[in-house]
Amino acid sequence: MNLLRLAEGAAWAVAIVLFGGILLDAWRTSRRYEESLLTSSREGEIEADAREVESGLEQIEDRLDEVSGRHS
Amino acid sequence: MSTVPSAAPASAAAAASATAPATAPAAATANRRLSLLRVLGPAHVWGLGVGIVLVGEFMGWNFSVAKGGALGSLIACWVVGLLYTCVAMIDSEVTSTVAAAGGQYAQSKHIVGPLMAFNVGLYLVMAYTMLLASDALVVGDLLKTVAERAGAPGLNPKPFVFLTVAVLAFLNYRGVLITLRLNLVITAIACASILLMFLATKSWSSGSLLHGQLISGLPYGWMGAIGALHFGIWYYLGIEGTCQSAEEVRSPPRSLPLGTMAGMITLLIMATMTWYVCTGLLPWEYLGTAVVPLFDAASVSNNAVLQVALFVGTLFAAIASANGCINDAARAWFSMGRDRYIPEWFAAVHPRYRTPYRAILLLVPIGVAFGFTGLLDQVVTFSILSGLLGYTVMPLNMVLFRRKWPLDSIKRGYVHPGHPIPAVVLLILCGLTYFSIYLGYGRQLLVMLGFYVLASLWFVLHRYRYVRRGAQFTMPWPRPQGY
Repeated sequence: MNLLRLAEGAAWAVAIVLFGGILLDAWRTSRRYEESLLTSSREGEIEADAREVESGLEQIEDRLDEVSGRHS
Repeated sequence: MSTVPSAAPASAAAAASATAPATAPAAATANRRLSLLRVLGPAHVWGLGVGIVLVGEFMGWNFSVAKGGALGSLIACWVVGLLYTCVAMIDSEVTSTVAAAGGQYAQSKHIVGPLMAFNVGLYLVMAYTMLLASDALVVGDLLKTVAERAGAPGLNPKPFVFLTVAVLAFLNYRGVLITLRLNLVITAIACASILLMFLATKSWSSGSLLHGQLISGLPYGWMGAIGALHFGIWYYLGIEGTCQSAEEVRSPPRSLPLGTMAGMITLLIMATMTWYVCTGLLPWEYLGTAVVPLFDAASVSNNAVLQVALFVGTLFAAIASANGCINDAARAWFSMGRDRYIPEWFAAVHPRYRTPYRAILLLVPIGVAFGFTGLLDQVVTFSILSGLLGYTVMPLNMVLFRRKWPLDSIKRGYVHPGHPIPAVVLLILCGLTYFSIYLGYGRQLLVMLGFYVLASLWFVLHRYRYVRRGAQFTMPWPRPQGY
């Protein structure tokens, strides 16, 4: 009988520790990061951003080529 | 988990954006937000789909035997199997094209409209949350039964219900890859235990199973066979959950159809094997009321190894199902939050683990609260009815999808054959299953329909004003035909 009560007590304790742990982490995360960063992107938004970044970098490289061409 | 890229804290992000040149890349980076990780493959999709369902082979399906006898249960197994095959075919085509978290919710949003999407999202959340509660309840009851058989009666199942939900929520919180890897392993072990049962009872040799003596036609006629459809759903309930991983698979057009179809084939085989072994070992009158029929069938065989294997299989199947349910319910809730169908607060992604952590957290108190009620049949019926409402919408989705965007207008990862036959068959079989449920749980059916009508009114009259109407349609598709 005592073993049963011990098992039940251990189950309560582990469950509370785990749930408490993720609650605490969630609270700390929400405090540490801005809400606009945490709020998820739309489907496909990251891919669109990556394409935008790539095209921007290409523009910069073209501009650098132009400038270095003028100087030489 | 060390490979998971972590986001910079707010201060670091602000500093980075301040030092970046004010060009197009900087603007894009400033607007950039977190997304779920694309790390899953077809095996994870299979594990998710089969894992949610497989507990139904270990328990629950056998109540169909009580309704329609052993043969009625087999008819239910195959008729409902046809229903779910249609579901898997339709889901595979639409989800391989609308590869977004939320699965059927995102499909309905793009194809039908916001009110339908809200309802489908709610069906998904309710179906998986109730199933989670049922699975946790089953784990608690199983441990109580084992304690009793070991000579220690009086185990309180509630701490184990809470422990199951807490451990799985913790895993889900820490990352989708570790969660679905675990699901894959324990689902495979549970499948192996059914296979072991089939082999150990020498089911292929005449005389080892007693079908000739134990099966007695249709004891309640064809009405009994129709009544059995309600519990035939247990064989497959949840396979459509594969769609919820759409935003996290590396290659949705390949992985989703492959994982879903392989899962459906696995379930058809497992369901038929389970029925065959159990009806050959146990009289149908007993089988129809058994709590853990496969375990009981193993006990009849007097094989201690088999009994242990089936206990482990039952336990793992329940845990895999609960695990998949947390994963799926959280994705559905998260994607509704992203569109502001519910508060946007739930659409947050953890910067380190890249999981919808607030949606996962919400499921813990709900799952535990319903698990503590101990009302397994009521909770599961609520889950079945929510799932069935979702399937009923699919034929409309499919017909409109093909009509608005014909085959040559957008690229699809998978095209299911024979359209519109699967859609029509699905609609007919859903109607038949509603009738079956009405025969046994008519009041619950009406109460639940009332609940969804009230929720729809809340959405239309109150919540829809918060929705960013243009922003919710995100697929880069051409204008639909006829619009």
